Amino acid sequence: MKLSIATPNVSNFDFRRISRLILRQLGLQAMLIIVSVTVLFPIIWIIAMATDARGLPRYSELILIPKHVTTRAFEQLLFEPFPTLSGVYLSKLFSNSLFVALGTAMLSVTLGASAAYAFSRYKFIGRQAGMLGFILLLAMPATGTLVPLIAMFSLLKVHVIFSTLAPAIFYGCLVALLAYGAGSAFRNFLKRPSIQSSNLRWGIIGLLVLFVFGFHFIMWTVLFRESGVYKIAIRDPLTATNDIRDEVDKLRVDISNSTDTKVPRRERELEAAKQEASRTNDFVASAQSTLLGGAANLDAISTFLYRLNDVASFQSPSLVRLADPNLTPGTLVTATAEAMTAAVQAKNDAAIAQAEDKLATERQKNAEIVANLAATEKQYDDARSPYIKLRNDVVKRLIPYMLGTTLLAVVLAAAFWYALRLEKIQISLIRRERFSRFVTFASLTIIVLTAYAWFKAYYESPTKNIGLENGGLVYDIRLAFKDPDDILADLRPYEERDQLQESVDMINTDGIATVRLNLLTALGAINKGITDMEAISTNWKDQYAIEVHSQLESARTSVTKSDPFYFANTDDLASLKNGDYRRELLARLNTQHDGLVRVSELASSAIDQDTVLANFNAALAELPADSPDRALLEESVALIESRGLVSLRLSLPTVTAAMDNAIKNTGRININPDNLDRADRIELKDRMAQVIDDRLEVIRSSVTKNDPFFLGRTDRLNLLNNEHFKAEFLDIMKVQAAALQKQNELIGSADTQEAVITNIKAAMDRLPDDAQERDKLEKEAAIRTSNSNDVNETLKVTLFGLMIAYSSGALPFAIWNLKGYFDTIPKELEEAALVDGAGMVATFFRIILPLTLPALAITTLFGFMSGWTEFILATQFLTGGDVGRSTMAMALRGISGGGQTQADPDYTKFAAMSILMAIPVVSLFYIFQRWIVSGLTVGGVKG
Amino acid sequence: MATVTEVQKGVRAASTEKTGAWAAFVGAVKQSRLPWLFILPSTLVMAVVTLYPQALQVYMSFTNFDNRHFNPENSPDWVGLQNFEKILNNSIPISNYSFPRLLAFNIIWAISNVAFHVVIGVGVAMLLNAKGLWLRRLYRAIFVLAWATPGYISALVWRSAFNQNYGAINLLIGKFNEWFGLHISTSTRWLVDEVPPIDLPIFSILPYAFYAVFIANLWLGWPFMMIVATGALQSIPKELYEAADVDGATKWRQFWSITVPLIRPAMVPAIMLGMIWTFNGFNVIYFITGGGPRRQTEILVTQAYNLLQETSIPGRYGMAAAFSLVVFVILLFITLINNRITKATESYDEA
Repeated sequence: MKLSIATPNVSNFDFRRISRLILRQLGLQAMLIIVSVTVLFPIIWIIAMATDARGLPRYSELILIPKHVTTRAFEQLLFEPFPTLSGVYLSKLFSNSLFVALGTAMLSVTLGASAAYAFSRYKFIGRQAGMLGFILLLAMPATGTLVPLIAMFSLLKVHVIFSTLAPAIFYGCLVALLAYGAGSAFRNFLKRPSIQSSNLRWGIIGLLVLFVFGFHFIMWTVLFRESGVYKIAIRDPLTATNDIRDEVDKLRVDISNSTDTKVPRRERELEAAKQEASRTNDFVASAQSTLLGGAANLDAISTFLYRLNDVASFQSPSLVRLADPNLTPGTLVTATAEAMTAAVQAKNDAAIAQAEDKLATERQKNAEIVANLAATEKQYDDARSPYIKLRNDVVKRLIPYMLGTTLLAVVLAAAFWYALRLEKIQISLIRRERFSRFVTFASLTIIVLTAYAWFKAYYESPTKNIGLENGGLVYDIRLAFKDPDDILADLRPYEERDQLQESVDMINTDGIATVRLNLLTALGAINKGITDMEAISTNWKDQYAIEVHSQLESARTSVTKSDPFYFANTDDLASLKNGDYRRELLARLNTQHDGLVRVSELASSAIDQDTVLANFNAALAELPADSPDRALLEESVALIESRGLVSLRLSLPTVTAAMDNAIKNTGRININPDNLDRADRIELKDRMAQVIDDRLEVIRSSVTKNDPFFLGRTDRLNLLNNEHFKAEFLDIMKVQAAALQKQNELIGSADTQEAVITNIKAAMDRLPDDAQERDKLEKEAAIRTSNSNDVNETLKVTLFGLMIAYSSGALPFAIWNLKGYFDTIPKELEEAALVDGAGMVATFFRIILPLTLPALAITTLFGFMSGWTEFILATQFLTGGDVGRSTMAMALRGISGGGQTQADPDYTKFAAMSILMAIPVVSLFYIFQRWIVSGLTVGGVKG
Repeated sequence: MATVTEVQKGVRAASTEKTGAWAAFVGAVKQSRLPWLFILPSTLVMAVVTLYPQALQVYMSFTNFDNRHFNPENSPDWVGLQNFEKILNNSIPISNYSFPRLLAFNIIWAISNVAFHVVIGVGVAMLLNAKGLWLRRLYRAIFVLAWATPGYISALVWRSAFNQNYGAINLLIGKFNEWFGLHISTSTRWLVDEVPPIDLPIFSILPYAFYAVFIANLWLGWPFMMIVATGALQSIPKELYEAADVDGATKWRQFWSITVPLIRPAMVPAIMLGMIWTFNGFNVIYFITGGGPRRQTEILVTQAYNLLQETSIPGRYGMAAAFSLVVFVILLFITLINNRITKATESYDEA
């Protein structure tokens, strides 16, 4: 049957028709291939440049298919800092661009959907005006609003935390959305009967777990690379090796130059020399054989000689043989022929030898460069390998944490699974919905929290190189969440220990009397400070508080650390005896003390300030011009006039008490000068006197002049109130006082010096002493207290600001575009749902949203695609700020040699970057091609 | 749904309780409450990020707004219509500025480009639509690639392709010379040379750079026309051609009498869209030529942006704002024409 049908076809085979069809097909194909080549030409050119193994910055010949292919340019872009932006990686640029582009698109679609719906479905007052407004807005050129936006955004300030947190939250939400989507898709997938009944299910679950682990691995790696620890300990040292890499690149170019050009040239020269030699040798041989073979007439001989002369110049040593007088004419010819042949031979040999020599030199040079390259490459690898090893070590150490988060994700997946089970046993719809909503919420929360941790880790990144040995990023994150006060509290025992050690040293060197004297003075000053502080309610500006605090601190340390007995010769001081010095010092102290008493009397001579001032002035008038008291009184008058009487009264008792103590203690000092010669003694005495004097002056002035009450705010002290600051300040002073008190007690705990030291050492043993732990705590404290958390920056230089600025154009476009889509959805569907009794919310979520989901997705895609390559706004907004906030479009322009730099670009890197940047958009375009085409014709208006 | 009942109530209120304009207005307001709620969020955001900057731009166009006026303490001076006058009188102090030439160039640019896009697009679409063509999908995918690549990246790639020494175009010309024994110059300074290659009346305002951007934009633009035309061609019933064949119409006649009228409804909106895109082709012009050489390839939108960069103009931001408004008026005119033509086509389609 079949045969009978086929037969007529074969018999009717029309060769002319078939050949016409084939010709037509060939013609069509030829035309289409030409068009394809035209379309592909620039693309192929770019790909060829990006992948050519030579990796030159510029090619002066057209390459469309490189001989050797490499992915080095891509690797460099992906894994090394971006060439034109120091220390910024492509991953950072990618995340910036993604945040800005996708964030804008999602924001404008979310906001615009409801408005578009209203414009499409309802008639309301203002609709016509609104539509007209949209047409006007869409006709506005985008460049017009650039300056207003810059002007506006330069004035708006945001907290730096916000601008840093915004991308983190965005990514958190994005990841949460993806997780939710993947979870739902997975659930739906498992519901298919073919899956439910087969063993495949476990395979799929295993794959999902693997996927989740992989995802977390990537996320943690990214987190790690964003952390400050990574930046300081790994990235910066690696960036420092870029010089070596540049050298490697240069050597590579040299090698390609040498191997491709220079060596072949020398080889060609050698080849040419050899050819020349064989040519002349052949000639000589043939001529000689002709000559000696009997055809020896004069012409032939002369021609031969003449041409030989031409070939070999007469400079060969073999010609000497021709001078032999024994030669006969016959032998002369033979000898001449031989000599000349030898000369030709020698010349050829020399030429070949020279060419060989040159080639050898060139080859050697080449080998040298190759060796040099190998050495430099090794050097490069050596320079990098410790850091890469460190990085790998830390990543390894991160694996437990990765596993932990994976476990969390698997638990979430199990929860989805459970939701599936619930469904299977027909639990009510509402409970199921509620449960899956709960799971979604939980996963969102966890992921947003992770993003927050990321942010903290990034933002609080340490300024010092710490933490890698403690677990890198994890340590970083932990630190970010630590309370600074806790760190300081942990540090306190170490400080106490230091103070005790200091006391022991001082007792050992200066004797217990000195330490007692100093301690009492310091303690008195601090206690006085506490009393004063508690007595008032005041509002300090923070800078005053810091100043006062540092003054008190210096007062305290000045009586311990910088005491004269602390000087180099202190070992001998205990045995020094210098009555003169003591007397002198006492006399001066007593004079000062008398002056102070006088001042105190005067200060309390009346209640109101004016009277006191009058008394002071009267006393001054009485004093002789050269009296040492005069200066004190004048100072006091100045103080009262500038800061009020209160301050003077508050500080005087402190000073007087300190002075009393000093006098009492100086009286007890025993110094034995036996071990010093005279000159040393005098010098030491003078120095001690000077220093003690200075110190006491510092104590006196620190509690008077630099007292908080003296800082120009005393008149209004009663009006001011800042309980918080006061409490904090008091806390610090009380801690210090307690420490001093403790030392004081210890020092007063026994009569003999040795017993006191034993007591102090016993107390020290009870305190922790772990140098490493302490070092860590100190670094942490430095990091956590050095952050300036309250910095504001203008919205203009933030990615978030750029995103908002993009919305300026994207939002109207989204509304307009979505309205076009909504118009195409039949209204009857909603009406039917309403008739069936669905509520408004249900109608929106169950009818409208599913129908418009493609439209929303496509509008988002449009927004994303335009934002992804936006350059003008981005460069105007972000240039000049942090280079870490560049977008990919800015980076591409920078690397393309456009803009300000007129230099020829590095085409290889530019090509690779173009490809990397185009890939996401091109693939999205191909996936959504059908909808994009319809979308442009349905909704799109704007260009 | 609340809306329906509310609307009904509103209508009822308007119709039964009271009559008159006020009652109708109250009814309309009641009807409008829900839609107002819907547009509220985006209106609020747009008021801040879109409308306020636009208003500021209009204000700026009447002032000598400058860099220093970013500080709100320095308020700019009101200069009235001076900026607009300067723009239209060609008295902006920048080199080689002439508004009529700019406008003429922009129109030539848009029309010449779109004409070529349409011809090539429809031509290739017809090739692709040929009966029994092999590898149809592959070709389609290749042709779409040019359109799928982001315009910004294509522009930068083309810019480097027109580099005098290392660009693909001059290198390709070199290869052609080698293959076919030609002697075309391989050192054309595409983006720099100011002398027009063709010295004829209209062509004398077009330097080499124009042909460079023209080639680039041709490459970018025709696939869109091809896609639209392919869709339209596929929807033409085959019977029409068969009937025409039977009636003895030539292919040429078939093209003009069947193909063209039937793809027109799809092509006209696409042509208008392409016209607006090309008219505002900022990326192509700005990133390939930057408006150069000597502003000879500047179009309105790039000139508006370049004015912002001209530090030599006093009150440049005010000037740029005024320029943007002028461009806006022109664009509005074009958009309105576009809408009218598109609407007319729609009614043709329905008829």
